[in-house]
Amino acid sequence: MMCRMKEDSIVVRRAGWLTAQIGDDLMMMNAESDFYLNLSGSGGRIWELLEQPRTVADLCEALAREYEIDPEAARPEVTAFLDELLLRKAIDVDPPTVA
Amino acid sequence: MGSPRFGPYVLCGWRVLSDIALPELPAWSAALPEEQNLIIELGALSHYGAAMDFAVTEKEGAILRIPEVASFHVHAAGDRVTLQIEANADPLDVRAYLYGSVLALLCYKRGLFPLHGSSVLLNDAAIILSGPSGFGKSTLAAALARRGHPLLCDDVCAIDMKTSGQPLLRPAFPRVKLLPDVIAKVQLEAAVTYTLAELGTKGHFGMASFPSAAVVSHAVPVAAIYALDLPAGDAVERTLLTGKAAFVFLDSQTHRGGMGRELGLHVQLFRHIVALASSVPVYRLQRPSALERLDEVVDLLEVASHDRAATQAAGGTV
Repeated sequence: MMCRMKEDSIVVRRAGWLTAQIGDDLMMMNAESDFYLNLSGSGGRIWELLEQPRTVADLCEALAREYEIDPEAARPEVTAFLDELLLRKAIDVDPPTVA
Repeated sequence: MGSPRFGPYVLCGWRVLSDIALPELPAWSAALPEEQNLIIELGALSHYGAAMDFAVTEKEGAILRIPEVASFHVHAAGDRVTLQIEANADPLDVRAYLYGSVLALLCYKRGLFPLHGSSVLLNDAAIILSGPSGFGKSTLAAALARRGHPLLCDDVCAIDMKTSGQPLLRPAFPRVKLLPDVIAKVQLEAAVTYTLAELGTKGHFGMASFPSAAVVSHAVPVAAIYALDLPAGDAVERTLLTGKAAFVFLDSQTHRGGMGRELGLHVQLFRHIVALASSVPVYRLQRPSALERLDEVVDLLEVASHDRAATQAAGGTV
């Protein structure tokens, strides 16, 4: 999927997801649709960071600091992952992405 | 309807009174903690119609219809099962559904987690053998019972996550369903009792029990869950599953999970699976198909259980 998020788009967790850490894995379930998601490694960390709404740029910088990489290098993977979360209705992005 | 003729029995810690004989269940003991009774009663269910095999109503509970066997109504409070037995139904079949799908529904109604598997007591804790039908759960349980370890349940493992901090298994009854050829091959005859009239009435299974082992009716902690592979290859070994793999496995072996979700309990199910996967180790168990090598598998489970008990006694964790 093509990335349609902007640097200054604000990413917010959607309500209605139950989460639980089991070992290294974060298990998530959408309480309405009964859909499961599993986030591991940096995916789980991104979900944690989204406890507060953040811009895409802010998220990339925070991750780049933690994983000691360049924020620009982190960006394609982070936005691809956010696209996936958006598709699964786990997050909202403001302003909304255009189809 | 008069008062139920049979019982009191004990099933998963519940005091059971029944209109039909339930010879597999142990007798209720006054030493067990008092709980809400479970009434099994005969009644007419034809007014629910035959349009669906499984129906849920918020007010009335769940209706399960098994063609040519019986219809079961699990009441909303989980305190009563009404059943209407079809003409010419085999009583053993009726009880098999009662101890299977209906028991799973009762677990849901009473806040327990029903896991598909057989369980045996080793070193004062339950080990659960879980996996799809035909993967050898009951056969391995029988081999453990032959060594003197008490059988706790077969098919539905009722797991209590609410009474204490750790998951507890509530024993159903000390019998396993086995194919007659397994009974013969594993040479269980000496240890097994079953009535010939019941053995293979429909040609598909016999109920086996081991009178030498103690009957355990009180809840016991769950020490380990074994995810059984289809027997193949040469290795006898266990491998600890990661969090995600354990979750996915437990989800796949939730007994009648679809019914649990239809009852609107998917949040309860998620929480139970997470709690179980977080607090009990789940191992993949590989073993060869040759029944002659069952003893090696039993050895592995005994040693693992002994090591765990020794570690715990020394103050360590699992």
